[in-house]
Amino acid sequence: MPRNHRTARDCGGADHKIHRRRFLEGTVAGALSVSSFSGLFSIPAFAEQAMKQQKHVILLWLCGAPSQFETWDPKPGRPTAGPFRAIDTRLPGVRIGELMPRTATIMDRLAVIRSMKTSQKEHFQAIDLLTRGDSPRPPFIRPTLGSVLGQQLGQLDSPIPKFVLLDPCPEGNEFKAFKAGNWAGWLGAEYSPVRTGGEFRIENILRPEDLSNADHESREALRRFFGKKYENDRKSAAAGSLNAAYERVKGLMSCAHLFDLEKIPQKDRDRYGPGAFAQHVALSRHLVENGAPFVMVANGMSWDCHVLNHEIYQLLVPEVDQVIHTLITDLEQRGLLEKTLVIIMGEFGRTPNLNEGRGRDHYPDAWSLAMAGCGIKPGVVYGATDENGVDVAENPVDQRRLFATFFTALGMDPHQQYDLPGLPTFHRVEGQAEPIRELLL
Amino acid sequence: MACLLGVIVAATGAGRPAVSATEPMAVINEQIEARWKDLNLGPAPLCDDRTFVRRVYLDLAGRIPTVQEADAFVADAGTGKRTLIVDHLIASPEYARHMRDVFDVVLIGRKTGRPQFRRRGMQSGGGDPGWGPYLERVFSENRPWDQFMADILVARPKSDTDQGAVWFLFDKGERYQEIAEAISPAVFGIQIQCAQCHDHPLAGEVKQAHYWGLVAFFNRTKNQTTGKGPRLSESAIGGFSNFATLSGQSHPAELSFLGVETVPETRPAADQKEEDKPELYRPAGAMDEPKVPVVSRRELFVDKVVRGNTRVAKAAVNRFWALLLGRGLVHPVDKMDSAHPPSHPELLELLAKDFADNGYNIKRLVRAIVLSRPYQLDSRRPAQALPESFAYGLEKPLTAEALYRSLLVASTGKSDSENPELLRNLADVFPDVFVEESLTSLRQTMFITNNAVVQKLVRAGDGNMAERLVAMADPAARVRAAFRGALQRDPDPEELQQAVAYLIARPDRARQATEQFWWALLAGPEFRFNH
Repeated sequence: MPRNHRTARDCGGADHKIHRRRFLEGTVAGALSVSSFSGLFSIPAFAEQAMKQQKHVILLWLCGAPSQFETWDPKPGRPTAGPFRAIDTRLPGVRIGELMPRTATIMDRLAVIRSMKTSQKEHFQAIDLLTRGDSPRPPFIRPTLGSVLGQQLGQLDSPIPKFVLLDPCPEGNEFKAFKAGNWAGWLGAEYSPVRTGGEFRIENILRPEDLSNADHESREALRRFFGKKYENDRKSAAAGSLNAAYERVKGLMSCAHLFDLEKIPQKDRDRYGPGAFAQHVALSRHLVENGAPFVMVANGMSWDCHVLNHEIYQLLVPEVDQVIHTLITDLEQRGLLEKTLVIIMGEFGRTPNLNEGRGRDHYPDAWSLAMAGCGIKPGVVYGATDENGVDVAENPVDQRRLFATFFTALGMDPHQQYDLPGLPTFHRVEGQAEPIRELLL
Repeated sequence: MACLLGVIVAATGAGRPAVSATEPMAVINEQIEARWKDLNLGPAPLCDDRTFVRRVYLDLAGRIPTVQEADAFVADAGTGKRTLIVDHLIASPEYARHMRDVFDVVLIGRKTGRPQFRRRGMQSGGGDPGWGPYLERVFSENRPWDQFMADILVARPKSDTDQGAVWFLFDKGERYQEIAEAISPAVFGIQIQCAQCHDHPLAGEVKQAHYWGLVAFFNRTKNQTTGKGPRLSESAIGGFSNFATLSGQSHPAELSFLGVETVPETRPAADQKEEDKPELYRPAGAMDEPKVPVVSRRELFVDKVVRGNTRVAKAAVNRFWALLLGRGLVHPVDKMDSAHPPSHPELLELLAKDFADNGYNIKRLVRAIVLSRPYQLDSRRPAQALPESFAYGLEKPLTAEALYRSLLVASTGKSDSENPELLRNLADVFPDVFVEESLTSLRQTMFITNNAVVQKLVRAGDGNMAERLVAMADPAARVRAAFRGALQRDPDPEELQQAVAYLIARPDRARQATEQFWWALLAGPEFRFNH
């Protein structure tokens, strides 16, 4: 288990001392048992304190990969401009694609990297690279960002899933294959995401009627006894995965209400927009508000437009524009933005030249992404591409520097070593890659 | 003899021993054992009878044995009983049904929501003379694998009973790329989606021209619904297209595929309009059958690309090996490209050649694998042994259908019960066959824990196993009977103690406690996996 470099319950802060004193004074209600750690969360003050320190991440995963020419790094007037124009934003001298007028008004909250330069141009390999932050080194599987951060940011005994994947479109070619793979890697199956989407409720989340709560739990304890015996007897990884998946059932059941979109006021949901992606982003804000550490909202693979760029982007970009604007302002108004890192990205960019089908193909050589919130300096554009967007002109950023930036923004040491007995030495970010200081508060 | 050769080789370090065995089972043993010696690996011992009977029923009949079947096998003191039970199971209709279920997923995939599912006649005893019954017949009659592939690819059934063969192509609704992407892994063991836009980035022998070539073999095909049922017509003209590389160069899609010379074909000039003339077709056959072109691209594909192609033999061998051993000689089974070398290349060659030389006989191959030594090893892993050494029995997650039948056998005690709702649910939640890595999702455990259909299964009633357990006065007897019924073994002392304690702690609700304990056995890894 990786050592917690900084836990969410840092001892020594003034707030912590106050609550400890109150606890000892006996403001603990009634006969509440505090020998179990989870009992502490029913003490409102303590729970509130934990929530205050809680950090979150919302990853808007635009799978298939959006074109930087039509979003963050337009090239108006150039041969590579494509069918759309550019518009001014709140940041003087910074222009973005004309299909993002709302985002333009909040550019002073965002940080954009225009100089992403990565090595993979096939979907599966690129998704793997940009969700895990490094190239594969079989047979070891590096955990995805959500698994790492879910484990680091998640509260020990909190029932809310540490890593939620909202996935309104379960299909999606290579992304579908990726989703079927191993997300949690060497951290272990318990850090793989709870995946839901399409139907906003999770199936089979209610206890069978003829089973009491107590029996439901003891039945699982008995199952676990036999299951663990089998797992240990054979050192079975397959049984390990199965047992870990059972262990998460109870926690998810207790959060059933959080995944019910109906519980969010209609007016509130409507501001995000009508589409499945927009509604799932509304749900992500709701989950974060209720303590979820890491929520990934997958919007794929429609971004992979090899053809008909003009038509398809008129459908896709305005939606993400409304989503970004609503999400950022929403988080800000609720006081959540300073604790929530919002990341908006795909697995690469798209080609400068339009092909025969008037689309753009895959392009990892120079692309863009955006972020905002926790630890990120707002109103910054980092890096640049040349006048046609063919290559990075200054400050190239690879996946390692990107991930180093994410970890540092969240207050984590990017070069922390994993504690994995029997495995080679791995760090959160390899090669001592430095976070981008210009993007950090 | 094989062992002696192995010893000589180890002493001289002279590389692989000459193959002395000719029967495939002996070839398997020789090759696998030779690698153990190279690696200085001590394999696991042979599994005991209880393990063997469960394993072999699951692999050949697609279900666990009943208590009576398991006990009878264990009690049998005769020699050669393992061979006898294997032959008995391979000859049974359950073998054909199990293979039908597996290859339905391989060839058509999980599409239970679509109306075709019922039309394909997948449920036992129901539907048209459709896909399901056809597949079952392929395996019960032990049709040669290459003939089976030819029949579903040419899709012009010669008899009424074989009409179901058309479904492989018909189900894909003229989506030619979907057809190509299904044929390549199923027949040749290679996924080719990557090659749609460019040559395969990791396995350079898989070219973009092959992807579009495979498409071209099938893009004159159309679905036709006739008075006799679904058919695949084929045009004598058309289907000439180009494909573009990422750099913008355009190439004509010719009739080419991996490892085979391009089939020559006259391409009309750009401005030439082809005329669909009657003389381009063979004389009309039976009524309602679509006319057949004199030159049929589908037939060309089978004749020039499939027949005699060693890749086809290897892919089939690899798939049956993976099905029975838990992992292919090439792993995963749909990546038999240069980026994924086989763990035992010579064994794969030898078995493929044997397969081709012996009429692509499926039962013969299956029998040889199941009677081999690696198949029968205990599943407790010796230290240092990697899965690809086949030095121990690999765990295999049950397919949805095997889980379904096994749950029914365990809960009713009978091997012929049915519960369509349960099957539908399981197929939805456990869709995979031939997994690369066995990972259990939270969705699956939520299903087993809370779903009403599963709860109904473990509830006592209708003379089922749960009811019989409840009726046993002695909790220890109850526990033993439950272990026998679910896991085909007795509990060890610790398990017995834990389970009995659970039961006697709930005297006020003995029925519920028994049902809960019964659930705990069926929901665990030992039931879930073949081991």
